[in-house]
Amino acid sequence: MDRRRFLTTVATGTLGIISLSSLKDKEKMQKITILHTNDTHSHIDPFPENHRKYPNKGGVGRRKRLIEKIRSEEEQVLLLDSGDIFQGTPYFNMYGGELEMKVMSAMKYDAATMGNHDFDGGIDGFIRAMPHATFPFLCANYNFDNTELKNKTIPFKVFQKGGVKIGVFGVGVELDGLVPKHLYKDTVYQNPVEKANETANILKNELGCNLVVCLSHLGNVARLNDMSDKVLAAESKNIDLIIGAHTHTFMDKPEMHKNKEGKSVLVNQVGWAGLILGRVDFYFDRKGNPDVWASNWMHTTYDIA
Amino acid sequence: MKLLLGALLFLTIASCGTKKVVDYDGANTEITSDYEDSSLDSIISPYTKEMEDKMNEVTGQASVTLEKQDPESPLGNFAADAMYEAALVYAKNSSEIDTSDMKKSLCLLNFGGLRAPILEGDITVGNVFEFMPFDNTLTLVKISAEKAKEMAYYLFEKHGQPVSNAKFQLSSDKQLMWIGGEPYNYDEDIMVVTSDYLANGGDKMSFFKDPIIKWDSGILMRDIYIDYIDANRPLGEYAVEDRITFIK
Repeated sequence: MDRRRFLTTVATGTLGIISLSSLKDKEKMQKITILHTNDTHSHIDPFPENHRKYPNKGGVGRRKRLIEKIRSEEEQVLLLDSGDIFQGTPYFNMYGGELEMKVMSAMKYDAATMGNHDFDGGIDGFIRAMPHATFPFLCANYNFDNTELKNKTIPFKVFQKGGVKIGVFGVGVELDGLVPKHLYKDTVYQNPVEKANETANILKNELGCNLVVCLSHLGNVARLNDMSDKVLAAESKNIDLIIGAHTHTFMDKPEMHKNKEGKSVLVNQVGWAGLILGRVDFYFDRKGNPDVWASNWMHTTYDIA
Repeated sequence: MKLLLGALLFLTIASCGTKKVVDYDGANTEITSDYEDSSLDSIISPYTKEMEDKMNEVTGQASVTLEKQDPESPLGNFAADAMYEAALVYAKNSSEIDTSDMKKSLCLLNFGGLRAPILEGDITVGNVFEFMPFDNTLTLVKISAEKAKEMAYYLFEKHGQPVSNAKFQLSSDKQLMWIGGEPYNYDEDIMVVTSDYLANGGDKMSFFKDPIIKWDSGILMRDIYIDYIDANRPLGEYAVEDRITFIK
């Protein structure tokens, strides 16, 4: 649904309690800007000029400049990555991912999750690269208890941005059949939908987050098993935004889905190789007026979980 | 009633700080030269320098240029032979693979995966990256005779793919196959040495689905080629020797 129609629906659906102008007056609202990447795959330099598909596109230096430009324009910015940071250029083969971690840290990433290719240097290889990252890795459905990664990742992290509390967590794809066992060792893959709902419930209902973001490396559409962002979105509760990865899906803008409770959940993904910087801005009611949204929460067609 | 009022008051207070999503915007932005920036160069350049040195490292020589063409070509023969040799070593050292498993074995790759020719003269590590940019791994797949038949028919339909330790004479209704010089009558399981990509059904190799057993060595094919080129200086001609022919 486009915004115009959504505003109309809300306005008529609430018998004029909401004034349309106040909703449009976004300057008064709390704004949270979420920037994101996925499947950057060790692409440090821009693609060469003579590249068939992406000539002179991408590059971490340019990504940093764009992020800094947005940071200078927006008060509250969160920078996230949905995994597969590793593998794709000789930088990874030669240095095992430490340069990727260094440049992401220089860009001030807030958090990332692990993709299947982040296991390509083995559990040991990932641990060797980790000290170069100043941001945490969020993994809610991989149990690393029987590996060296135990206690080195966290399931979720809560960020306080202005008046808004944002809960971020990560879910990863099934590794069996995708990553050689000797690389992921005794990592236990747990059902991502169950773990996502469990984690989102903690973030939303126990820790009082105003926004819940899932970093997903499940893929936009199902490949190996029946798991995907579309499935997760439909089966989820309490998740507002799923930042996808794995399938290298180029999306012009976030896609709106309905969750298990009929509430809205956005899914976004930006291809691969650091060609595109994903961006979703959320506007919050700055005054926190419960008369407007909270009371109509369940009744509007647009109600982000 | 008091309780209800209390609850309402509590909810109001609690929700005062509770921000609700009102709206959103989505704007994914392409990263182009408009955002040129050199602030990461000091971090990146030492790596780039060392990497370029590594890429320029000479790992061997080619006595002739190896190029690809279906159904059979020097580049394909070289690629498949190097992989088959590496698989024999891997199988020998693996506790999971019985040496008898390798008695009826062959290598099957795809032309699509070989991305650049090997040019006559020095071969650098960078050249091997151009030839094999994918991070595919050496994989062994044990398939049934029935699947082997499907594989042979696939080779007919695809007009050949790189193979090693095997020979095929193909038509639409007859697919003759030899493994290690001996006729194979589609009466026993065979071991196919390939890449993880193909083993997972890539390039429409559906006969790899539901195999008897599969081993992914985790060894990068590129590393296999670098080592092979180093050990076999200079590379020979890998001349076409009728590994795949078509019959009427």
